[in-house]
Amino acid sequence: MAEEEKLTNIKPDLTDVTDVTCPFCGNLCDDIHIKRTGDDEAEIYHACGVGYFKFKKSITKGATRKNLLRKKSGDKKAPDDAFNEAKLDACIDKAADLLLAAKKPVLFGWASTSVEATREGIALAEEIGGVIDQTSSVCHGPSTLAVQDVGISSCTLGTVLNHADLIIYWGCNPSEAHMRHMSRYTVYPRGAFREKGRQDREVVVVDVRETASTSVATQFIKVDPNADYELIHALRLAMKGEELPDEIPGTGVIKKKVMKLAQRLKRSKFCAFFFGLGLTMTRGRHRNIDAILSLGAELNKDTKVVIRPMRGHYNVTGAAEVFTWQTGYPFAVDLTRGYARYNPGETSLVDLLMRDDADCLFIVASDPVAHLPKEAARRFSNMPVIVIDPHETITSKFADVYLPCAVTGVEAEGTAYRMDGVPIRLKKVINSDVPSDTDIVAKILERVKEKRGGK
Amino acid sequence: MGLILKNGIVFDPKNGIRGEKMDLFIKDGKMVAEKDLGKKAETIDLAGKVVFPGGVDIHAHIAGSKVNSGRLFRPEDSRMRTVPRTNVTRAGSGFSVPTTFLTGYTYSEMGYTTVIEPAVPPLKARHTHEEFHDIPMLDKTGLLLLGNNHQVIEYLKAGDIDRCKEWVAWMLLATKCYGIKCVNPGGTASWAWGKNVDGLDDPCTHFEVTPREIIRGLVDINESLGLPHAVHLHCNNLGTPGNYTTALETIDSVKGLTNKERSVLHITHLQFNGYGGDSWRTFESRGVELAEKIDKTPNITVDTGNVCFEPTTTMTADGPFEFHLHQLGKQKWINFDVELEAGTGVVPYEYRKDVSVNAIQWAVGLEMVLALKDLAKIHLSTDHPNGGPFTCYAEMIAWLMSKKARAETIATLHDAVKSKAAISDMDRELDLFDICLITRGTAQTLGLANKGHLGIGADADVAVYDIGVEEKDGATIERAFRHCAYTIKGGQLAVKDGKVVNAVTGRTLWIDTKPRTDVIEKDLRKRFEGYYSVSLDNYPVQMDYLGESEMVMERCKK
Amino acid sequence: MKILLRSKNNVDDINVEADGVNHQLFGMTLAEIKKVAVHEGNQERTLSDFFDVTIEDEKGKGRLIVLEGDDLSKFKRIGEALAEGEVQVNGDGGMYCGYRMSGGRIVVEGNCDAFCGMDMSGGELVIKGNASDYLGAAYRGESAGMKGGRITVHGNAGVEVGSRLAGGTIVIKGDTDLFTGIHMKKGLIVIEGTAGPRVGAQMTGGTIVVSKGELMLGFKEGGSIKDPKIEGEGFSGDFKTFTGDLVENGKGTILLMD
Repeated sequence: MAEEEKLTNIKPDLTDVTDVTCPFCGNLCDDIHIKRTGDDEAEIYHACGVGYFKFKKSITKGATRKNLLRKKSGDKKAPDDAFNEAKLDACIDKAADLLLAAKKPVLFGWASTSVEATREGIALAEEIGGVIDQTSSVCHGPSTLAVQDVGISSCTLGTVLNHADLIIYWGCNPSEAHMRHMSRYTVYPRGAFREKGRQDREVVVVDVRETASTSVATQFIKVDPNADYELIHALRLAMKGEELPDEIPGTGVIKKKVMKLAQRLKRSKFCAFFFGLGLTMTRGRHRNIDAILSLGAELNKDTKVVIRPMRGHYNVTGAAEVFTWQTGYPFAVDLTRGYARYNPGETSLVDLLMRDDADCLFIVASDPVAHLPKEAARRFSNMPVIVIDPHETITSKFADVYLPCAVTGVEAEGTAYRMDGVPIRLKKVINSDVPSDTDIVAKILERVKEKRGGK
Repeated sequence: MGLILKNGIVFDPKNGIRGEKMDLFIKDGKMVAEKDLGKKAETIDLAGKVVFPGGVDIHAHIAGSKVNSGRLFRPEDSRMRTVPRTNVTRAGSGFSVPTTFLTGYTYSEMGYTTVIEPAVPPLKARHTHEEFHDIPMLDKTGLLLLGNNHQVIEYLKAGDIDRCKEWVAWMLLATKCYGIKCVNPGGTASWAWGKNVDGLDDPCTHFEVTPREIIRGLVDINESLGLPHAVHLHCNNLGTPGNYTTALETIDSVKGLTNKERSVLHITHLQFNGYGGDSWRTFESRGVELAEKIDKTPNITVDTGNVCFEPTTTMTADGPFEFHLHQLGKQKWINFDVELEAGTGVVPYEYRKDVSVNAIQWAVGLEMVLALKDLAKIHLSTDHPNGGPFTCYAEMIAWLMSKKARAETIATLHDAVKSKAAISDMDRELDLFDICLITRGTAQTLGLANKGHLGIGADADVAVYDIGVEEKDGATIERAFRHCAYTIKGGQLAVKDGKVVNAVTGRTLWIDTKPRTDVIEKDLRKRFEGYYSVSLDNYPVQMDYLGESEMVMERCKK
Repeated sequence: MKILLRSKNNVDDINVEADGVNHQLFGMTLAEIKKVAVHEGNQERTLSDFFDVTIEDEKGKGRLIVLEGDDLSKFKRIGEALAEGEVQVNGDGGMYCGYRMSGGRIVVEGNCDAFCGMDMSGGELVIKGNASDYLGAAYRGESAGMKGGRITVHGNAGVEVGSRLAGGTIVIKGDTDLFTGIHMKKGLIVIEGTAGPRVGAQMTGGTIVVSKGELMLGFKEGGSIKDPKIEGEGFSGDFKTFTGDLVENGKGTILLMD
């Protein structure tokens, strides 16, 4: 059992922690090495630039984080309202009151915190009769919709590492958005059946412009913006042996390039597609994904093809998993009537806001005002907002209650799921002066139940 | 506070109790003698209702990565069954793939108290445990997918049984699982290259090891480790016409091996390997032949894998089979290969009364039971949800207990059920003792000494059914077994009048295999540093994930 | 019988789910109708909280529900599961108008929000203004959408009209947006205006009749046809016939006006 104890006995303030999991992007690299060199200093090894910065920032002691409570100067929220430090309990209490007074509170975020925190969030949403949604609905939600329509042939990242001889990045730029993707999982590492690493693989990149990723490609296909659906359609026809015109209409891509890609696919033994917001957030959205997933499924007749969405947030996959196993649906879950209902386009955050169909917002581990369409973000001024986040954000400027929390994966433990669904434990490498969001949400839930009289 | 269950008609096959009116005594979560009850005790008067030990489901896909994929990609299944929260229970949804809370409540409302998740991919075992954490009412454990594990296959190829044994032991402890699961051995490993195997002696892609070698290797290791349950096997060639020969060969592959306590090989959802003919057109039932084989073979047990006529979701670790099913029915398909270890597939499916093959499949599952003399060797299952949701068990029980109920169903089925199966001519009707045996005898097969019976020292898991001992009406039987009168879990009243009254927590069961890590250290480093995409340090499932748990067995050093 | 529901125009913000407004009202007394449950988020309210309810011609043979008001688009699920009778919405309709309807008739005088006619299996839905997205579409994950009935939109419609259509007829007199008839397998869609891009994408069966539009590569031109008749509906003019979508080995038909 000694091995067991070693693995589970995470000591805070350990001076030298290996195999730390980076809580930033969907790569969920779990080989980070943190060597503490002082109270708020550390040497950080193996992380990419972004992960490095996250650890550095979280370990360095900044200003003491404060709970904030807004005192409204008038009927509506105003920028010059007093937004002052308050005791934790007062903030918990106010948050509970605001949620209980709401007819349709929306609990949003979750993708950048642990499964444990999200569990509390779902319980809270069910208790108060609200909608719970996560950042998928403005990111890879379309990917999920497409999977629900046509399914997906996929695998863990290590399967790609070991087997793939053709990597296709479509509508994504891993060199800048998932920096260690190619070096850890796809293009460069030596695999069990790809012992020469890069030399055993071809790389194709499809995008609307050249990027840092296209420089790695064996073949780069530049497609006109918003024309990916047509291009995939043409590729599917080519794979079926159908004749194509010299130029694929509306795509800016010539037939020769499509045929070259088709031939690469035919001769590959194991092809892995990765796609990003270039497909999910351009014209066609989930149907772009539908097209690529359908292509992948039918190619499995002749060769092995897998497809993976390049999930951005480090635990957006985990949020979807726990949402699903608890409610039956991966995001945009309406629990207002005591049971789960799901219909993105109706029950998703942006759609609720655009129809003024929400009256209280509870934001955890997310900064929607910074990211949502302006018209939706505007609505944050019109209703009570509760924000739980390690740092003040643009969204917290609109909050009535702001509760700082520990950085999950640096100051608090938890569980996260990598972009391929592999669950990895997040370690704690430094103590926190504020509670974790798991604890905060649990306290709010408890307070809500108390105020309700345990009904 | 103790608990007395008075005036129940008790069935307890393990202890030879066949419908005796007797009182039962419970204290601190265990069955006790009356003298050990203590001064304070509550009483529930069961007023002549039938009492079984709590159900132990030996094979149901309820938790983990592929189950959740089934939920995620089927919102249309989720909305088919929607259950609002109450002041005792959380909300739930899902007809064939219920959510975790709903899974626990529904099983409990049927009198089940222990369920085995039969297919845990090691790399994602943490996910299974996270879902276990959210399944109330039941004790749970998992069986670990090892039959297509690359390291296992390489060891077997090299004849390195000692290292293979420690690797298996290490994997079981690292994942906190209970036993060895083998799914289409060699076939799913080949599926990483888009291939399959076509029989016990067809070497798998790249490794060139045969399924027979994998099965035998794992069975030998299982015996050597002294694990509580046999190797749990999903045969090659599942779902194809004529595949009963594969089942027979597989049964013969462990000829001569013995174990005093239990079987050495457990073949799961055998119905799906019970087919004669050589095409869908000539497809026919071999249920009776399989029953005869089982009776003749002392060292195996099976579970049925019955089908019922409901829309459902197939999900197995038989990657190539699921692709094949997707191509047949053109339904959406999820495929998921897990590096170096396993592969899974999920495809929606509906068994229809007017489809000849489905009607025959229905017959196969029932024939295997009705033709079998020794019912201690067979257990009821639907391979939930592959053959149908576990909520169908009640209907299955009705079919087994009532020839009339069978006849009524046969009248609605495709004619092939009469010409290509024996079921129409089978008169046998199981009684309550038999039903208890095929749904609770699972504990014996699993090596769970404190489950599946009501003897002193057993866990106080009790199911009470509102049914007359001589009941023969199909609809009444189904109603009684779908919603029981009471369920006691760990000595606490959990269900009353078919509804959860107390959302009790269950435990995760696991075994300490005490692996000799030094023996495999070099291979562990090589695999993890070279080929796994996670670090060795992060791979094992931490104890934190188990919540309330019970270590059921410790490996003895031999 | 005519049941008149006059909105009090007092909906705060939160949309009100009024799934009880269907043929079941015809069997109720005035007092019972007023008490029919509606949901404002997590609050259960009654119909009379939001509508003044009156009944006219109580003993008459007709079966009519009329909704009036300025904020009718804030009411979701009007006419849900309608099996008989008529519902008239004198204004804009909210989401899910006619969801799961199997009979009867719903007429929306103004525009209608998303998901109208979803899961429809019979009856008639008429929208005199514009329809939004997912008109007569399938629920997420279902292999089949609308199975029967008829939807007519006098104005334009949004994306994915008739997705996974498995029966019935949808007529759009104006234009449609992206992916009209995507994955359809049976039934008829008529676009009298301009079909949006990617019309008929991934269809495997059924027919789309299009006045104007660009088709994808997966549609192979066959011959021409004059004054075709499809599912009992007659169309006048010369049409080119196309079969596809070949990416799905589809045998659907698009008739494109010449």
